[in-house]
Amino acid sequence: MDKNFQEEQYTGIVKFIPPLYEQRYQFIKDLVGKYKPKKVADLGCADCTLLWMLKFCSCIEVLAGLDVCASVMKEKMHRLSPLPGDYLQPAERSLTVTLHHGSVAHKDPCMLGFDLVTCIELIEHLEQSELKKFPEVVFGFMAPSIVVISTPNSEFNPLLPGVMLFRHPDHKFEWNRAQFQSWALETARRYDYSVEFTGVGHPPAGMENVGFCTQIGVFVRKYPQTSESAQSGKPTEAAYKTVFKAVYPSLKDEKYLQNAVVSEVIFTAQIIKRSLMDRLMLEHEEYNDDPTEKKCKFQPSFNCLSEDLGKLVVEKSMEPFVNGNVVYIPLTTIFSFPKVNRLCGTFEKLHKLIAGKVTLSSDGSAVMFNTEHENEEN
Amino acid sequence: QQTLPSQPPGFRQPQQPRVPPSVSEEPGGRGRQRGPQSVPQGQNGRRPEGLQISAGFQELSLADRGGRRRDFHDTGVDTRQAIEHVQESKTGSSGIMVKLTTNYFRLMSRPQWALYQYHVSYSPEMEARRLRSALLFQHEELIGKTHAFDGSILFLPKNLGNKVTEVFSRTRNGEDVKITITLTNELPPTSPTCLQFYNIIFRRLLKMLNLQQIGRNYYNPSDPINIPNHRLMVWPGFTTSILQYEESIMLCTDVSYKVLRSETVLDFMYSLYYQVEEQRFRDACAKELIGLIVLTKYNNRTYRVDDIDWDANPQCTFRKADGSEISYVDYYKRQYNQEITDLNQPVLISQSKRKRGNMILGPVVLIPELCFLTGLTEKMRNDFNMMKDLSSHTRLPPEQRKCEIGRLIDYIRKDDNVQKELRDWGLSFDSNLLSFSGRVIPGEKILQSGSVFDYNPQYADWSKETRGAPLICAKPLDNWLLIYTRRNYDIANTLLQNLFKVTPSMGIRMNKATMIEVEDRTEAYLRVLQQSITSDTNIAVCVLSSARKDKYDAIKKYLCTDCPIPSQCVLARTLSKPQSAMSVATKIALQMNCKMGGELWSVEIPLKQVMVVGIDCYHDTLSGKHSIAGFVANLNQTMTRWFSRCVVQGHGQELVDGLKACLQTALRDWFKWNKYLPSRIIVYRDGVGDGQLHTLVNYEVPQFLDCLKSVGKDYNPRLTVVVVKKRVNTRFFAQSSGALKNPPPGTVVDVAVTRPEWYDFFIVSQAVRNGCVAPTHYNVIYDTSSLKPDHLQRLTYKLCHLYYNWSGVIRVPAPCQYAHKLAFLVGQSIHKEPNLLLSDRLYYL
Repeated sequence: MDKNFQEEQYTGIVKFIPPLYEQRYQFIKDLVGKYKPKKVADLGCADCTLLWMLKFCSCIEVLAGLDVCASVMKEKMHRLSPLPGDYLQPAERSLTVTLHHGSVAHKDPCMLGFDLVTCIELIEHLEQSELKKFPEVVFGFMAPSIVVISTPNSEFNPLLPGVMLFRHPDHKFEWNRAQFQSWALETARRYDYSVEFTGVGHPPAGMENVGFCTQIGVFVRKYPQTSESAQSGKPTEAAYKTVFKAVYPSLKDEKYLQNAVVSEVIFTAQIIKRSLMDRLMLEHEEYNDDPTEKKCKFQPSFNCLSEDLGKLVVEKSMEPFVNGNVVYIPLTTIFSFPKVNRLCGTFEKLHKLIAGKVTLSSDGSAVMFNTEHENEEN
Repeated sequence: QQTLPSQPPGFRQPQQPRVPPSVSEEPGGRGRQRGPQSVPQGQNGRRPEGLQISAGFQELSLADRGGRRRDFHDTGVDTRQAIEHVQESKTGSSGIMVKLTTNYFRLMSRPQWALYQYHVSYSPEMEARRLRSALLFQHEELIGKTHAFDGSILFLPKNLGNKVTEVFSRTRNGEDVKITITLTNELPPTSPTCLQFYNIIFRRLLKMLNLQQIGRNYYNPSDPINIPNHRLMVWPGFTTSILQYEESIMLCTDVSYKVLRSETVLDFMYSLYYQVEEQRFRDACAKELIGLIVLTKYNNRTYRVDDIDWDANPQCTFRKADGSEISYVDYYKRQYNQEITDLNQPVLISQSKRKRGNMILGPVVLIPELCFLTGLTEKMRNDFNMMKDLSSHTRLPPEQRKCEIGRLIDYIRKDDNVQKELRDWGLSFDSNLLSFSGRVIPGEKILQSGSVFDYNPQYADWSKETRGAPLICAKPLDNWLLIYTRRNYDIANTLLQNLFKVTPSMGIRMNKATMIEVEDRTEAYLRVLQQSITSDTNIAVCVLSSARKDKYDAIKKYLCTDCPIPSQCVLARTLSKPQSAMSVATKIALQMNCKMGGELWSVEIPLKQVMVVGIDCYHDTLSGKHSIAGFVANLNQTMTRWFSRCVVQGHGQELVDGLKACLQTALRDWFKWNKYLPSRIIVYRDGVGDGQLHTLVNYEVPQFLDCLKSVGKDYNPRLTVVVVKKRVNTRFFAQSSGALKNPPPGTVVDVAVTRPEWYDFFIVSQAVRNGCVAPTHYNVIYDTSSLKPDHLQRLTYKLCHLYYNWSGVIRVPAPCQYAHKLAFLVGQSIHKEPNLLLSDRLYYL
């Protein structure tokens, strides 16, 4: 539960830099970097620190947390909400973060289909009865591709000052390496997983024989599960209570994509229009000293883009032009801008997304702007 | 970004890791409404005993996220107790009653409600706040689920039964800790400590509602308004505060809109790079960016840009808390998975005001690519179309505004978690907006050279009524200059002809102007002015062909300092529309007349021998180095002539010293005009920021008194100091035949939403065409005048009628608006104190 300050009191003999809890989280982050899972669940997520760190990993699209203590989750859960920046520039990926209140001894269909399930310093908090059900729930029912389980290595305890029996009063047990490994191997065998052992928190020099301070088992499912076998015979009844859910704005969502495209199109078109007008104004002033009439005398079809914008204009049909008080900027020009191009992918998609949101010429080929009110002042 | 070359030359810098430089002590100011920075900040005003709660909660309540800030609500500044004649009542009496609704909700608590305050101590002593909480909440069965704890003070809605409760917890190290929970206070709902507590709880609720905190307010990001032309996004939200008002504790909430930009600082720099010449690029960046508030991508924090470090880049390293060195690129990659793509961008420096413990944290380094811009730039503010666009979304008519305000209470009522939290604490909010009665005081008669005009009180404007009427005092245009470029010859000539048409009825005698053609260059204008102005030139009128600020500034600077004569600049474009030519000529004639010392109209002022002073401040947005205060005081009984001076605050100088000098000269000039000194002085002090009230009370007022003492032994005038505040969250809606409308001009409110510890009132003096009218708050912080509140309210409203640049009632007393105009001109264009020869004229209009 309060894993974050577990190491705070260590002084003297062993001190981990960075702190041990950070090393555990970094271990998970590295694992995520390696396997690129899309759906990740953290069991016993406590104050959601690991989830918060994982939300920045761009491969993850679904994040879930589970804990038996709702209040500890709630305390800081709002940091899992999208930030203003996430709304200002919606990301390409979609991301949903959900927190559930419940026990790892119970099955709930919301935990199905995950790629990675982490149980960081969880099992030692389980009562005997819960620990018994745990393998069936996690490996049998949830059956993710990878399970990571970390737990204290009791052989290390003599090196920790002040630890009498267990490292935390809520621990129900602390295993040595042999105990953990035999439990893990047996579990892996029963549910068709392979397991590798490692850990974080190196012992001090000369004491290597005690092993890592935290022992970790990484379980990988041997056979890819077919979606049918995953769903068959699974209960559909919910056992957990959802306490938090955040859906991040994403360009996968039509609403945000449309907003982004419309914004980009209008902004781009404005830049082209402004440089066109500036150029015209300059040319105009050279010939005519009277500024009051400049609006109405433009000739259509100038190629008046500034140089860098001009590079894009390869075909004659892509040139923006002015007709009377109206500036026309062909959609093909706008589509050739990298940002617009990247957002839409196809010209048809661009058409579809801006329909009804941007004023287009009658044949729908160009964005139209009125220059009438350009210089008005209050 | 492929359209742009991969690297603007301006960014190319030697890559040398370095520690962020220390930045000058005085950060540039962009805030338009910051109060007198120069006044020494008194560390502790006079806080009532009950407010002394522990640092942890002050943090929570005042800043919410670390760092102690000033108290924006000016609580604990109890000024009314020293003003004898308003001990019984501070309300006025004149006018007719009007039914008003306001944006306040009553906070209600169960009968016999009390908040129990405990002190929690640990033996052995535990340092970490989180550990202290964890240990305490091992006893949830005792304490309950409902609590607020900052590490040493615990608030509970229930009594634990004993004065002292002892429990034992065990740390992870197996150490046993004795926790002593001692009841220190049983607080009634109106206790000041409770107020802080309410605000803490309320912020919790807003978070539960998934509203995002930005700055002081909370916003709803799920339904933004997009303005793609300018890459703007507007989030609707709320400003909220819970305070003790006249009769009850209330939540004041108003709609607020946060303007965000979906553009990073780096994007902005790139687009700026293509708009300015290269050698001006860095200056342009500094000018546009310094003082802006940016929002970081990776966490929800806002920072003020205080400097740009062009010698640093994202590959520079810094030392982390654990002592290790890491580059910004690696740090952001590792910590937030944020890729920095442009490795040559400069970095932004923000002088942090945050504190950790007692340690002030150093400057914060920010990466432009990871910062979003917020708010509007000066350029955007000047963009008429954009502001129109924006206001169409944000300027809500009364009925709609009320609905939006009501939404917050709806959210609160409909959210189960929020309801539960409130129930657990035994609190609730009234579901209806507060309603009460205000008064509408009658409009004034406009006196103009023997004629008396009434105006339509609904519009609060008399431009039609008084058109063509003779002025109180018309200054002749015997000898004046009209300067124009060749292109604008016709326009200048038309202006001259139109002036000949409109001036006779006003009583202005006018000769033909000396017409001078100039080249359209600043130096040409200045040369002509130097050559043509003589000692008997009345005024110089310049027709400008464009709104180029530098030309305008140069002309104004020359004619306000080196060669002090009145001047009138007018844009050719303004004159070019035939349909409005006559009304423009009329306005210009009136304005010129005021600048030369003429008088337009007056209202009846029954109070005799009274000097009214208006003060407002301007804070330099760009260099940020100094603030300017305008000081304006009437010279005559009818309040048609004004003395104007300003204070340009120099380095290490206090603004208030300058204000003292102004007051002295004003009194001297008054004496010259009237042959006696005023027996009453009423100061209307505008430009005071939130949370600066105690500084005013403790420093500025004593200085004024000091100054009066120095005038003479027997001189003992009555002094009234009124703080004028235009930016308030209070809104009033008038109920008229079922619909909500803006309250009519002249509406006075001195009940219900005023503060019991202040002698304060609201006046709605102006009329607005769209949106909701903002009342002006007046807070009398010092008063030995014994004037009845009713008389002071009436006088204040009268003064709102006397601003000569607007034939109507304005938001603030005219001297405040004059002071604002003066400070603005000096701050924007002149940058030093104008010549005192001009001080008896409204030359800055």
